[in-house]
Amino acid sequence: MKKKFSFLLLITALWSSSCSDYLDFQETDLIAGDVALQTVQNNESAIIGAYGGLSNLMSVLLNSVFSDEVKTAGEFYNAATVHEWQYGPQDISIRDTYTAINPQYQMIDRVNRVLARIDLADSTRVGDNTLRARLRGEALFLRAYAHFELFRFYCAKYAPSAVAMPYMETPSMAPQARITMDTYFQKLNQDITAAKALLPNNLTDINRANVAAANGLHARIALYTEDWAAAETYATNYINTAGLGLATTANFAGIWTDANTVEQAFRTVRTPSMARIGSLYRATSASASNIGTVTWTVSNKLYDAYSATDIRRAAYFLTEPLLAANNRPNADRPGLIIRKYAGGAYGSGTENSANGKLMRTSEMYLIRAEARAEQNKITGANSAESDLNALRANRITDHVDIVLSSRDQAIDEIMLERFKELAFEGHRFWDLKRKGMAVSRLAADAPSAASATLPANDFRFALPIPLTEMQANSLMTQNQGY
Amino acid sequence: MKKILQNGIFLLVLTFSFEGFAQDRTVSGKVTSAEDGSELPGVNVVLKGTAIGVSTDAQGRYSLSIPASGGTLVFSFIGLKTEEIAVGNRSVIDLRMQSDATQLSEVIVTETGYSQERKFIGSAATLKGDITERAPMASLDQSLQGRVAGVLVNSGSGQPGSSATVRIRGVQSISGAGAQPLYVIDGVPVLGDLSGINVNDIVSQTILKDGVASALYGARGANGVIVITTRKGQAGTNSIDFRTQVGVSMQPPPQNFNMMNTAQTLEYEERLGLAGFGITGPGWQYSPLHPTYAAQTEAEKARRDGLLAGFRDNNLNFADILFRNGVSKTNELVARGGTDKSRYFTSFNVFDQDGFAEGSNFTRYTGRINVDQELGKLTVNLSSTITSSETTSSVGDWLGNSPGNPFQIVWRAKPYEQVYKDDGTLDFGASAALTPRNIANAIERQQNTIFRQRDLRVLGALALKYEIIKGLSVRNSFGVDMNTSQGMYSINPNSFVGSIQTQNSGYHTEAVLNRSQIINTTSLNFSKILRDKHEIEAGAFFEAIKVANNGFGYQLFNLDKRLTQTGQGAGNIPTTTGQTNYPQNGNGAKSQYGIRSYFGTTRYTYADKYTINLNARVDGTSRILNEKNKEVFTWSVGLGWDAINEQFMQSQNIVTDLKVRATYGEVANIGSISNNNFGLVGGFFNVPNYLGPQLPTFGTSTAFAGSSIAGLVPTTPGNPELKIETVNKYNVGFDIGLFNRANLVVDFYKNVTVDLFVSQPLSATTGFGGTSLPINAGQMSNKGVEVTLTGDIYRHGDWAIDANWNHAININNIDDLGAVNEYPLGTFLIRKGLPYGSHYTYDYVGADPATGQPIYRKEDGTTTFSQADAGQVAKFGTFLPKHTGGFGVSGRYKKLQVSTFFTYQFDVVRSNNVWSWVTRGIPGYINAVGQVTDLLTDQWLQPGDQKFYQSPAYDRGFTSTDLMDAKFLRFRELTVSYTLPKMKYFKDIKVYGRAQNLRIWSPWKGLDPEDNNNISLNEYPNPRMFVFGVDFSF
Repeated sequence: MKKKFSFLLLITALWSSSCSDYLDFQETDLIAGDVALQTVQNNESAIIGAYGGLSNLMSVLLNSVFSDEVKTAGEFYNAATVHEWQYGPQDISIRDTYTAINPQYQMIDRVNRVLARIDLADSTRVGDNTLRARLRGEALFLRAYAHFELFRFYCAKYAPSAVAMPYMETPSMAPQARITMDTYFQKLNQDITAAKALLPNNLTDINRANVAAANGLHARIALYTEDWAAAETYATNYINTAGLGLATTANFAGIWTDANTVEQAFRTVRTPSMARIGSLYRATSASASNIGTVTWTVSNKLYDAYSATDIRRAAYFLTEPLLAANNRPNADRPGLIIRKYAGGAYGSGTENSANGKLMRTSEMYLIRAEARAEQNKITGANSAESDLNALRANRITDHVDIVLSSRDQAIDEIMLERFKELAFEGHRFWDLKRKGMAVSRLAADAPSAASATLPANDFRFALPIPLTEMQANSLMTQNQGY
Repeated sequence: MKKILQNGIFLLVLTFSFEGFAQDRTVSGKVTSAEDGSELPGVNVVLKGTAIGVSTDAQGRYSLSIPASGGTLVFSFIGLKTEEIAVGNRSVIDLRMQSDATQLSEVIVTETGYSQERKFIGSAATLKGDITERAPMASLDQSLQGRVAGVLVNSGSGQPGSSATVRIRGVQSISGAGAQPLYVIDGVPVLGDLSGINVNDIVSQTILKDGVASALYGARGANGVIVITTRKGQAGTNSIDFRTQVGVSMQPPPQNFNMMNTAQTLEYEERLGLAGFGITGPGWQYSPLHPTYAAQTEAEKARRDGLLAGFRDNNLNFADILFRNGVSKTNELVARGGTDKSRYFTSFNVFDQDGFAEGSNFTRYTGRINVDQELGKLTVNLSSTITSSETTSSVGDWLGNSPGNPFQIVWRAKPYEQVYKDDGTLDFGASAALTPRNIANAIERQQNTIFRQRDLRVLGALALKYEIIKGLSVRNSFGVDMNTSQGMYSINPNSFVGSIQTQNSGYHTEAVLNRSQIINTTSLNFSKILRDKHEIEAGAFFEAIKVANNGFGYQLFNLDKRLTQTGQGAGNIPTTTGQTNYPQNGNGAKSQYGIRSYFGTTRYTYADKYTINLNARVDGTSRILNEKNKEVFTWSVGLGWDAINEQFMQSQNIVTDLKVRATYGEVANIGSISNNNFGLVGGFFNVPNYLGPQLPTFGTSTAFAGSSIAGLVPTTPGNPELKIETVNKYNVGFDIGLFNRANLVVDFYKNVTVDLFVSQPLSATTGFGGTSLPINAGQMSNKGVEVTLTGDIYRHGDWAIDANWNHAININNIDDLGAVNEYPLGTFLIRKGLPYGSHYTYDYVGADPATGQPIYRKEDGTTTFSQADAGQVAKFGTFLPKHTGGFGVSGRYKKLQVSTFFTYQFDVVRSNNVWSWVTRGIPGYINAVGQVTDLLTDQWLQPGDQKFYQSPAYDRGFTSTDLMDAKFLRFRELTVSYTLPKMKYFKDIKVYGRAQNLRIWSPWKGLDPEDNNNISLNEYPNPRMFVFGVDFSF
């Protein structure tokens, strides 16, 4: 009888000891979690997936619509809430059109998943270890890029103690609080600095990040944080990169028709199957003679800023006879429309389709000019004046060098040149915020007298945090004023 | 040790000898059932307070030697009320034993270590085997409807062999809304689906409803537990039983559906055609009033007239063509018996049932061997069954929303459809408005398609128990549940339906799914009574469960026309132009999970009056990814007061039983943890993957045009913080007996589900802004009351009439949804303050008299013509009935017994999808779907019409018109049985007839108001059945 008892105890003991892993059965057949990013090759696919989130459409539209670059063309106007600065956190057009917070953090999450895995990933092919370093660099670059975009959309003018956004360094489901700008930019600078050491230092593939692109982003960051010396250094690094010389009066127009890639260290390739950047201003046409609805056209203020000898006027705008004949879009300037991203012919499959120019040498000249002006390098060699003239010489056929005599004059000239050179490239509204300037529209450009001016430093220079985010993130705080 | 043993045995012998000398008189008698007068074998007859006892023999007789001083005899038997009878001076004591509806199964008693049922204080109800015995349904749960208060049982399909959906005390979870109770067979929890169990093998089912009752089953018992006990051999009797049953299943009559007949349809088509609507049917196209008619030649006019007359002559009842009377046959052989040390029960059953839809059948073979053996201090119990079954479905039933579905096309087809050609063969082929062939095509499809699943299941439980010292024992039980399912769906390549498949030559798919569960439980049980007053019981348990799945599937096209139901001979698949890769036509997957639990139970009872019961446990599972959430601690406590044992109750004889119970228990809910699935090719089976929802998943992306490398992006974030939902269950109840004739059991309960999975919007910082994920953030509650009343109405001589009634009210409420207040889920709205399953749709008012446009009522009460403007509202109720119940009366005269049973549900609303189609009244639907006569009289056609249905010019979509009261009262069962007078060679012969689903009273329009989900869409209704059977016992 004791034997039976012992036997029973034995079975029990055996069984119990074999159960220790009952809490730890893993999924063996599932491609998810770490398995999905097992090899370096998988991680490269994930980086490619992250680049998929890179788009300048929202920033281009915002900087046009919220600023003095455009006026309503009178053919389709449903954007009063944004064009006339009436938005709040629940505003539908803010939520639908300008929820930059979702795509930017999505890109950040995608690269953070790579960063968490890349060092552990198996190298399965020759060159995988080199690729591993590059992928890490690209991930850090994209993380910095996206966080900088978030700052531009949702934060007020830079001040070290002001509130930035949450800086995401690992994938997390936990609620996240906003941090101060100095901490935020420390992290940003860390990421971009680390990226530069890992990225390829050539322009072989400008669809993906490289050292020049990182320098360009770094210069922008320094500009927004008013670190003038750094801005000058990084802009110079970009300008001095072989192959990134300024476009000339001869090849400037080719940038916008994608005939060349002059000045660009970094771009997004956009096929006609993607949202078309030109359609932000004018809908695609039913046929060559039936031109699509014009939503936004150039403001009188911007158009009149160019001289007749400025090659940018013809590259950026067009007086279309077909429209003029019908008194479209605006009676006061019949036929005048934006052509910067016009793509192929009216009604063609490539109409309004153009690549996104994320970074150009001319922007770097303007950053350096501003940085030099702020450092009191107003005139002479390697000054604000020399940079400005170098740019203008390549844009205006009968160019005559301007002479700068004061910092204030230099800044005024630089801001005007940015307005003209970088129109519709996603800078204007944020430049005004950065410089503490008002949006000031001509009476002819404003829908109403009340919407002619957005006062300097108004709270609406930073977008409201969308209501959905406020509900979903218990630690999120709303921007002042909303 | 050896010496002690020897001494012990000597002492034992002495004791027996001593008792032996003292026995000097005999008491004998016969025990019969009070219910039907039958003799009861195997009843334990024990002299109270002694070891003296016997079991009754096959004729219910016993004979026992007792001391001259007499004493009290205790008669006990599972499912019957234990009786104590003082012997006095009598030498013959006959007894008619009463059934005990409130008595708990012996299973709980042994499994929980509670030696006495009276001291079990959880909320539970037991159904004896005779409820399910002889039921003409293969699956046990189908017999449960309306039987137990608080247990909602709804059948989702009348397909033979299908299981019902069982919900105990409401839905406890949003993500786990469909989770079924845990079934425990002979002490071992099994995987779901009871169609593999022979209903005749069952002695009793006990439904455990509250936290204390299910304390033994832990994290798998949150949705309630159904404990099933199978039959065992009885000492001293050896018998062989043979049962046979034949029956017929038929379509239940549809109710309140008033489809247009041929004349009406043709008239309606003409009427709308004349009004300018695009009617394609013959009623308009061949009408003499058609604008093209007048200009035709006389020959063409005659042809049109002839065709129209031909249609007019057709007015078939499609139900007669599509449905049949299905025959069922059941045969069973049982051998059972044993000695007091060794008992056996074996059975073999063949169940073969045809459904009333052509092609549907369920055939099953089950064998069972149960053995109980005592070897001194060691007890061995084996319970085992093996089942092989084959389910052949009506292919249309599987197709769901398709004209190939007989349950849809029977309504959808135009009544003027011609099914057969003049030569009597089916007129199948391409169907068009003027040559409708839907019915013939559905029949042809059925004839040339096979949809079949074969299942092999082995279920076994082996328990070893060793008594270390008196009152302390160690027990180990091992259970296994292994299922192999094989599915086949094959379309004959040499048929019309085969010709419209991909590659135009049939289709063949097969899949196999293996599922297994192994469970091992070790326990140490202790029980002791101190100084006659303090009763203590305690148990310590360790349990491990492993569930594993694996399966594969493949599909073939381009079959060989010479063969059917096989993939052999299938030809190659041609490539299409520019094709650079081929899709795989087969796949497979595997997965597993484990559960490990430690738990303890204790009970203390003072003086048979006051009981406290305390249980605590830790359950851990691999189904949770996060280390810190893997294990969950829960506990439960119960207090009981057996008031009837109080001194002050002894002086009266009105209240013959009174017991008060109160419990609180926390139960974790493993069943509601959502899983993802690997779909196996062919669509038969899924292999679950348990951690999928907790891990980030990835998909390819082509959003980046700047590289030739495909992008890989996370598509769901997974929730790594996931933890198990917990249901906190409160229960207060009392049991009252009056005059020893009536029993009333009332329970009040409240279940609060905390850490409820609710869909929460995600912060952008997660990378998934704008999307939602189930997160533990909500709370849901179910509260209700359950009443069960049983009693003898009349008992005199050979007459006995009993009645029973139970009713339950369950009120569900969503208490909290975390960060949000509401979100839509399918056709429901999940909203804080509303019950789960609240219908969410447009509130349709009627047709605008001026324009015929549909009018919708907005939430604020104003009306509009625009659905978008009106918005959906959630004021229409839920598909889960608030009130459920059942009642029955049974009567006996001598050996003839008649019993009836009715079930009902009310305060329930379901969406009637079919009704939406047949009342749509717009050309698109009129041309494709049969319509109801209501449209002839109640549809807007011209300004000024005050009508309900909108003009044919406007669509109405799915609106509140399709939501329908689905309350019903069902005459579920009528049984007449007769036990034949004694005959030579036979111990017993019983003949019976049983009718199932005899009548239904309901405002519902359609075949069956009952279903297991919210939408009525072409389901196989519950059949009406008549069976006749004979049981022989040798």
